[in-house]
Amino acid sequence: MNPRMQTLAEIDRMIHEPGRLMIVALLSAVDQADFLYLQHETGLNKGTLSSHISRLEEVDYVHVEKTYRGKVPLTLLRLTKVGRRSFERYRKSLREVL
Amino acid sequence: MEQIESLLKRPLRYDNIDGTLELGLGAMGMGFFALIWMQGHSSRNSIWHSMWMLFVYVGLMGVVLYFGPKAIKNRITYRRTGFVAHRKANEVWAFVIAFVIAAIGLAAIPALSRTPAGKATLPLLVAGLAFVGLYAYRVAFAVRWKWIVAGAMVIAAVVIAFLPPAALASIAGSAIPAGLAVTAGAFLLVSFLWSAMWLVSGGISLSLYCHTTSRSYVENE
Repeated sequence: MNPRMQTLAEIDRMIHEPGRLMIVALLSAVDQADFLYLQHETGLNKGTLSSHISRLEEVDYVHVEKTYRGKVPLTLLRLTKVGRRSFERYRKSLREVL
Repeated sequence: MEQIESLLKRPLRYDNIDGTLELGLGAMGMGFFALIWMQGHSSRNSIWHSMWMLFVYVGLMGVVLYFGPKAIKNRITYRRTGFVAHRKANEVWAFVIAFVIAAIGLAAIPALSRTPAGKATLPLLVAGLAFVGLYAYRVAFAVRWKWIVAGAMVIAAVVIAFLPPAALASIAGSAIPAGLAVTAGAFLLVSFLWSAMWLVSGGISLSLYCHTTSRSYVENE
């Protein structure tokens, strides 16, 4: 198989989905962000965003911390080391393919 | 690929979504302007020339710059469009860059005092234009109308650089050493005009932000 095609075939599909790609890219640039910020920046609705975050949490790409700001529930998210490494690999693969 | 790179820059540009970056810069610039103005226009024995006044000033500015934007973020921004904590490595680099710029600025003072009056403003103009570049990168690329502010900053810097040295020296005041009077006068004018621009621009951003966003999310998720 053509090496570029091989790279394309091996691309991380967990990150490649547009909604999850936005989440991972935004989180990769920060230490942590809350749910509201991701909702605002991605334009995704609560349900869709929540579902994508659950998928990313399942594969240990994102760490979710449920806490409170005063009396208001607050969901803080950060990219794990695994998630950060996967995203860097994904960007590298994409650069090779494009 | 470009879209991913653009996403990576968004958190950095989110800093000024509410105008706090510019409001902070404006407050700092106005503070510097006020301190140097008072030093230049008061006798050398006055409290404005004492070292402890400088410490009080630095402490006061630190409090305003730390707690001011933080209060706006906590009470307005985080409740409307969310909370972001930047990576420590980026914050360290910002501190290192600011320290290097300050060190170069301090090291340049003796050289500036020996520069002929007619050319004294040129190093300041070069530094000013470099700063406009930073402003454009951090602020104007994210919000298109901020290019007007960047343009006004360039015009102000260029006009001030070519003002008659005598006029600039008179702005600096009689208490500033003669060799630094022209540079200090230009610095004072630039500080005042740019700070006023940032305060107005930041104020407009904050006002627009409050009008275009609502505190509709009582719960975060």
